Amino acid sequence: MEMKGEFLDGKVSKSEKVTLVVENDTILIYDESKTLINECPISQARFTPPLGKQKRRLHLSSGAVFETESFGSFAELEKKAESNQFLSFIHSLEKRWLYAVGAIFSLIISVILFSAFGIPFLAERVAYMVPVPILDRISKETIKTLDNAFLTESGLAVEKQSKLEEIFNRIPKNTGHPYQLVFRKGGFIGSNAFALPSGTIVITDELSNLVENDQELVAVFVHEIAHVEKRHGIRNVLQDSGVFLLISLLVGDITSITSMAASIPTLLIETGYTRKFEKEADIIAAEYLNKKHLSTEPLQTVLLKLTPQKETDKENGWNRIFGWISTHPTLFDRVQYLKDFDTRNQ
Amino acid sequence: MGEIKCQSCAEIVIIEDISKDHIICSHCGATNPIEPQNGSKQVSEPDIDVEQADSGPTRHDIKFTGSAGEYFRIWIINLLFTILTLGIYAAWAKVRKKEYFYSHTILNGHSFHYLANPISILKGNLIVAGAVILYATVSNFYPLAAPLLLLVFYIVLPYLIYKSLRFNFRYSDYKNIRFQFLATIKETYFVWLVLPGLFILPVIAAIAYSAFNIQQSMLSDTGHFNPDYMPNPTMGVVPLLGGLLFMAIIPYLIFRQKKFLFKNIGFGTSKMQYSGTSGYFYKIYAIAIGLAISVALVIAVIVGIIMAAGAAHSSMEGNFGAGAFGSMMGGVILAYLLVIILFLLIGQYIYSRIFNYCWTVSQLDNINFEARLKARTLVFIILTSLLGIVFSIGLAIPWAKVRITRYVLESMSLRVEGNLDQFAGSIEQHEAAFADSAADTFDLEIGF
Repeated sequence: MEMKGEFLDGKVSKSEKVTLVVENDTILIYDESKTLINECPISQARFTPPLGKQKRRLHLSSGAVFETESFGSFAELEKKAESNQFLSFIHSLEKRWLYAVGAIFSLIISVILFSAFGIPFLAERVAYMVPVPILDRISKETIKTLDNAFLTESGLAVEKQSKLEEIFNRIPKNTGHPYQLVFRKGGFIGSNAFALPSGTIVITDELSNLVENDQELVAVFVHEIAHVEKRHGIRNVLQDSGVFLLISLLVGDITSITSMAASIPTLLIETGYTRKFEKEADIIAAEYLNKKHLSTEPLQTVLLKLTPQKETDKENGWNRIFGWISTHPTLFDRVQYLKDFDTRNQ
Repeated sequence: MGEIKCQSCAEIVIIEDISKDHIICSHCGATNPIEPQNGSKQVSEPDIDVEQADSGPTRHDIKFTGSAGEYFRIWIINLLFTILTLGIYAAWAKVRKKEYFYSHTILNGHSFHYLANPISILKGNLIVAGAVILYATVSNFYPLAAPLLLLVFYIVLPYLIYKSLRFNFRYSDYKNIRFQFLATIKETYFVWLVLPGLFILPVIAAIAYSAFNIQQSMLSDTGHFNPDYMPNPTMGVVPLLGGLLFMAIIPYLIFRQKKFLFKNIGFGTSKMQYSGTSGYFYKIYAIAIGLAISVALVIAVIVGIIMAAGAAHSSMEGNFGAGAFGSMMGGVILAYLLVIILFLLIGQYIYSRIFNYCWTVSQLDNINFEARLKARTLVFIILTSLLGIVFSIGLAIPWAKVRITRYVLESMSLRVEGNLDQFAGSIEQHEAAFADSAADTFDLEIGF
């Protein structure tokens, strides 16, 4: 086998025309006057992977380089050396537009599958592996931060607190978590209740006062307990990290303005995840109420009380759009789902 | 009658009267000497990129032969395999991408090459991924520790810059002679940590201190916002001074960073000489700020007129409703867009002038460099690329990359006394490579 090409010895920036010959598993380089100027066993030669239509290059053990446009012969030698097998396959994919178009579709499908199923699946697996003491630690830190930020001490009367705790304790829960109901004044977040990963559930005074009967409280508590049992907090954080890594992989090498644009799909995906979890908690609450032979009305009432009237009975364009980026399904959707649930379970 | 290629803008200039010894280029106005008849400066081949004067330096233009279509196919396969392998293939994708751009950069008939081993880059990627996960976890659950981690990162950053530059230069070559980056760690830390710290920290501290003072004076004794608060003008003096000081220091910092980069470039056994001064940087930044302020004022006036016209129009109709709102929104959006374009123009003005200057004042043995970037061309390319990328949902990214690379590279030329054949290779060393990808993952553009 013989190839013509150029030789660069690495000691000086000058190229010369040479002929490459292979004999007994050794590469021999002859210059134009047929003098042997370099040799190297095939096993010690490094073949640069094929790329586009570029000249092929061979790095010899002496540090010299041989370049050629004899693509066929070079590929033969490369195959003999069993080098670059995977990258030669990649190169064959990169050569045809058919494969490129196919790659576009495969890419889109992969990203969708990964966001919708892959990342949530992995996040769930990992979330359930986190030991409770770590969840506890995390929750303690979170409540500390919230207390520093905007939560203040509860102004709720002690008797009312005990009453609420009693209702809370009566709801069956997984005893693996150190459940605890705590009270705070909401400040600017107003009427709200939220669950921390450990089982600490915070209810604001504003919400405590807004609620009218025990069943509404039960509905709220079960919804929040569902968040703890299903480890939604941790799963959400893990899924967000997963999306961040996925988008980073995709967007890796472009300008900062386009990576700002990438934050929009990221936001959409992340709030999508949160909405899914909220829905899951609603379903569990609805099923619990159903088991207790109650309708989902208490939960609907609380949801309706939590929002101004015009938002719930207007299913207009703005609400729909805000729905896509909000972390909760639109009030309308949630109330509608609960109504349908009742109808199904009459 | 004859033709020559203009030495400034590379356009063909027709010589009406060859008895003259010079001709003014009709495209850019530069004066070009006319060589005697037997000089080899006539343009005969369409893609000549070398100009040989009878005496004096040879000019070599850089050519970029990459194509958007070809690169797209490489890019999309890179992306697909990167996702399919959860990021492992990213290391190989990076090497293929860089080698594509390097090997299509042609100087005097030979191309550059990128030789890094993907395994080294993979190691770096894994370490960086670990660090990012660590930071995300900690900042989510221990928010107070997050700033501490960031501080650690900033202290480690110069080391990453050092390793990254050395790695990238070490594994780049031209005609099988490797490049080098010759800075020391001490030098890197001085330029990238000490200098910025010395200047910026006191400035930030002063601003923070005054902001705190202002906030304190806004509160009455009960700790709530004092409704009778009237801003005291003297409160604004320190932050203003701080801001001005900050602006006065930036050109010097940039000067030091560029000097650090250029003077430490090595090719084989040769070393780059850099003779730039800070004066030029101050001039450019002063012009840029002047331009920015004047254009900002113009934008403010235009937008103000639009919004006032809209408000006046709807108040005439008697309802301050949708009309006024529409023109308010329109005004805001227009202002936003104009400001973006303004920042882009100013930014590219600074970038292109500094780029051209740094290359012009650099010399490598018998080579002088020249760069002819124009801000308006850069802005045009960037804006049209962004539009293309947005409307193609990202598929136009390879095209954009090829376009900007072609423009930047083909704006560069070398003037060589003699030829490019006498550079000597130096002894190879192998550097740990992990910091290379670390720098890139955090988008550190420490290049040119």
